[in-house]
Amino acid sequence: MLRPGSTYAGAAAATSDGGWWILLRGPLSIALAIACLISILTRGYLAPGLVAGGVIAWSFVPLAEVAGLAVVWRGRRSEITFATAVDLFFAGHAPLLLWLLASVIFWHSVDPQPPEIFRAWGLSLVPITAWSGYVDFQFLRHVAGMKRPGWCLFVQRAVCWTLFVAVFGGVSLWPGLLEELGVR
Amino acid sequence: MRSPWIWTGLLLAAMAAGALSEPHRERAPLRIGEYQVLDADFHVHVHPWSWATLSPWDTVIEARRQGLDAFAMTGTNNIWTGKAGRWLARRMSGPTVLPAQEVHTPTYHMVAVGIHTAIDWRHTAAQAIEDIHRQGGVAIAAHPIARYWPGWDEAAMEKLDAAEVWQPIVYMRPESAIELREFHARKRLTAIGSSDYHGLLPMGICRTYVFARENTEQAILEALRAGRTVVYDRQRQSYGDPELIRLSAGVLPRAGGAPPSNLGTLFSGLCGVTGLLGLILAGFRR
Repeated sequence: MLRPGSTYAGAAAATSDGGWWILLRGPLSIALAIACLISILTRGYLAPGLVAGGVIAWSFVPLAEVAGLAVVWRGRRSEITFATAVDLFFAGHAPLLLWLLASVIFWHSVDPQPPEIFRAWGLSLVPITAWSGYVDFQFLRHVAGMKRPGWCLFVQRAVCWTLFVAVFGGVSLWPGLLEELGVR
Repeated sequence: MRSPWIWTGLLLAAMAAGALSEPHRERAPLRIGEYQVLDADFHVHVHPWSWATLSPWDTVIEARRQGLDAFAMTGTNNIWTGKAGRWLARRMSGPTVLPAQEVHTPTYHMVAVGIHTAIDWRHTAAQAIEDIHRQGGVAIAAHPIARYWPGWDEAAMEKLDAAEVWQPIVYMRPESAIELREFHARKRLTAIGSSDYHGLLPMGICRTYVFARENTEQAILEALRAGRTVVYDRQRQSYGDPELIRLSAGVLPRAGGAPPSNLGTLFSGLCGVTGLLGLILAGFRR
């Protein structure tokens, strides 16, 4: 997590070639982690029904990420399979998941807090987004061997976030944007 | 400890403990005079398309756990999620679900309860209310704080049925409480307390006591049109029909919300958090 470049360089050499399980275990782990986090956020414990429902409802998140990765995958210069790449890519989600876990514990514990706490929580997203971006940049550089890892990261994020926002926010996006821009 | 199996085992133990110790709270229906008093939340968002965490089926289960007798499953600029929720709730013997839409526009937000086709968000507030009424629904001004007041012109105010007078926006922006009260006092509006649930704060944290003749969609809409609601804020200040406030004094607000934690749920929570933490770290190092 702290030295993603060297970790990825080693992991790329050590990981097996693939197969369905290698392809699926990363996305499934992320969907399961999100579902567990939602259960803890909602109830403070793991309710199997909520976790199962959450895996189904939130599986679009890893799918959107895989779609973003698939778009930039053509530009790779490494020999590893797409399945292995997906597996390693999701292994780099530790910082974001740790932040989500901390957020969930925070939100579950708060009995509506003063507004400053809300702002502080929002601001904490900035460093974690930057660090996650750096981890994925190192993935694209060391594992995929991309020529332009920065550009690939931008495209991967654009595809992934567009899909995410479309499913999560849907038809409220446009009026919401107009409201934020002050267009009446 | 790098083995993910230990952490997976902890997660499984957490789920088993969660399933075995799921707390329940039975509440006897409350009747005051000729009315059944229903705990309701008229602003509950649902995944997808509404920036919310829970799917329609989980929302129904969570509403039941939070002691809600009825709630409006509110899609943002859509109604299909609410309709899906109503269909599910009827099969899950869940609380009464009223399909609803938050008409989300750049100038005002409004909850349209009891409609069957989506309201165009490009309408003015007055036009939207006309459409809601044509469909037999009820129009509730959603978090009408000062920044949205220009959207509520005279024509809209004349037709508006109800307004949120207590909702979680006051926790993020304390001055909102005064603005909500001022808006509600503009004319005789049905008082609404809503959680504007997206998944962060508990569903039903702000709720409305509806004095309905029975717990059905039609009876609840009729009660809203007639203004038969009571809302309590955190300081136990009451809003709504003065006669109903007087009648229900000492009975309302009643204990609501989720049942308290027990040892099993605490164990589940602890194992769940530890298991997740371990898996996140082990996953990265594999």
